[in-house]
Amino acid sequence: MQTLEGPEPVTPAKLAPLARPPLEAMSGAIGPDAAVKLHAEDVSVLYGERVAVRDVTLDVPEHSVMAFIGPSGCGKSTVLRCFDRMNDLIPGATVRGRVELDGEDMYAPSVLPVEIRRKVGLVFQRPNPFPMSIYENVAYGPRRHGQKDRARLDEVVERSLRQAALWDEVKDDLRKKSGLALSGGQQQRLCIARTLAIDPEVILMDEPCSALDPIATLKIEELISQLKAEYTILIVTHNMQQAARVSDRTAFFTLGEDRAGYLVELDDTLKIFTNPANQLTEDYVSGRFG
Amino acid sequence: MTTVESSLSRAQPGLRARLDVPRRITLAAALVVIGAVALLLGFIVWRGLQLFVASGVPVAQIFTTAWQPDPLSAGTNYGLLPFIGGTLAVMAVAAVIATPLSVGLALFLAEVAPGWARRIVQPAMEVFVGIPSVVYGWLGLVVLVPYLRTQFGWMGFATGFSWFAGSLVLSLMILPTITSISYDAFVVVPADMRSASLALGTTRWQAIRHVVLPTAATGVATAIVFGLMRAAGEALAVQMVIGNAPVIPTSLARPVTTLTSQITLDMSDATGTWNEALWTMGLVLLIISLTFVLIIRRLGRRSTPA
Ligand SMILES: Nc1ncnc2c1ncn2[C@@H]1O[C@H](COP(=O)(O)OP(=O)(O)OP(=O)(O)O)[C@@H](O)[C@H]1O
Ligand SMILES: [Mg+2]
Repeated sequence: MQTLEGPEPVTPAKLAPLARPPLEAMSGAIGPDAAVKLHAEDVSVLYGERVAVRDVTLDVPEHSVMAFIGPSGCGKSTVLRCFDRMNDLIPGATVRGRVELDGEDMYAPSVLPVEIRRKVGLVFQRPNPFPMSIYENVAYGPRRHGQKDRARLDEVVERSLRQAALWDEVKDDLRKKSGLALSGGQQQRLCIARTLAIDPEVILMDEPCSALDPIATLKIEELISQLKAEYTILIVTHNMQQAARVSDRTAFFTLGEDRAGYLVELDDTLKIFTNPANQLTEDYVSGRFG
Repeated sequence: MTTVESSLSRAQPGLRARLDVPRRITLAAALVVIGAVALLLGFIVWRGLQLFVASGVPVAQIFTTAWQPDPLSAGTNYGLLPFIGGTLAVMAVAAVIATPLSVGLALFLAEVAPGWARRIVQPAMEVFVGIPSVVYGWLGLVVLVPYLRTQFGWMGFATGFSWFAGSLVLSLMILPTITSISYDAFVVVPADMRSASLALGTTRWQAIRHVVLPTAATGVATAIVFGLMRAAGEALAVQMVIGNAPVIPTSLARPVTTLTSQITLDMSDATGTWNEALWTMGLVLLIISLTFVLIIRRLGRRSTPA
């Protein structure tokens, strides 16, 4: 069976039918005056002495989807993690530059990472449900944030699971079945539901579909398109068609001569895939990379 | 299928036998060990039952409290309740003291401690395990017991030899066991789980309390049972500080005794029925240990995810 993964060449001909939904969705999605939700300025990340990514400057408009694409190791996940301060957890990692959420410095000394992470949810590349029931997995965040009311929790759990297109598959054994007993794709949707349950403003997704079959992938992509109305979404993907289908804007990263990743080009998705400004982008999206 | 097999064995005569060698060796080793264990168990059960079978002591008698073992004096009574009660009591209090300390230490090592702290504490734990029990007993005897007598006499520690002294010494001895097994239970909780919790905006403590601890719970329970098992079997150190009074434990400050310490104390004098009673005590100890083994196996089964 052919998977949707891998940097498959995207020729304009191939892209055209796939690109239609986002084209429609895109029109007017980000006006020139859309508020900037996330902003990074001259952000470099070091692991120990080594610079992993350097001088990334980018804006993510509110209620839009931005895709990060680029070859493996160019620092997509690293940049993504800057936006919810998950790099803080990696020993030896240093973030330089300025990262803003709603115009405010995320790394100011007075800001607690915990506050940031309540507003910015992260879906990991590998599904990592807790070894608890499906219900408890989804209720975990709200519970920790003080929600005790059973009815409210039930409501949040159902809404989140419905949003993540998992409700119908699990509604009969919410409390009996462990999150670990689900299939890989179901686990990933559970993790998405778990993130939605804390009602973040921004959702970061690191290759959320890499463990999913094409049908589940499609469900997630539909979900992303729906969520855009309320959330701001950043998604890392190796799947060009996916980037083309779901995102409004696309950022292309690559590895420099110095083995540090950098942002090559950031533009409207359609532009990146049909008429990029940079030759490197052109080569990558048309599969001539490497 | 058959034809393929037969043509194969024709092609390589003796191959089947050669392939069979490792299986035979391991089977032989397993049989030797199983045989030895079965013999040992059978022997203890056999000797342990002689008190009832050969000497006709009623089984109910071991559940009384009077310990008058000497068959040469009139009116023997083999009440084992003080020893069983003492063993369980000393063990329980030792576990109550050691569990929070060791689980806390294990959590600290697994979740919080910087690398250098781990590099100091871990070898220290190994040293702890390596110290012979007589050293613990000796320390208890020359430091703890006099200390309790002089400083806490007002609390009823008349001699210092006491249930509490025994439990304290024991708790020190089982601390490394519980610590290292629960440490292992904590470190196998995938890092992913902690990150998942933190990414949902929880504090580190919440991640430990609500993800790491529940996930490691059966491992920690196993650690405690292993600790208890070690405690039940320990004789020497406990015997040195416990006072060895065959009474039902009622006060932490007063002397009590345990199955193991009584067996070692009486071993040389016991003859006839008295000797048989000691075997019965051994059998009781065996039953206690087997109960723990069963509990551990139960826990192990439960922790395997469905
Ligand atoms: N925890 C870490 N410690 C040290 N170096 C790291 C760590 N995580 C990533 N790196 C390094 O930083 C660089 C960028 O890694 P990153 O995971 O951000 O790449 P990526 O673009 O997400 O790659 P992929 O597409 O394979 O997921 C790599 O060279 C990697 O080796
Ligand atoms: Mg990555």
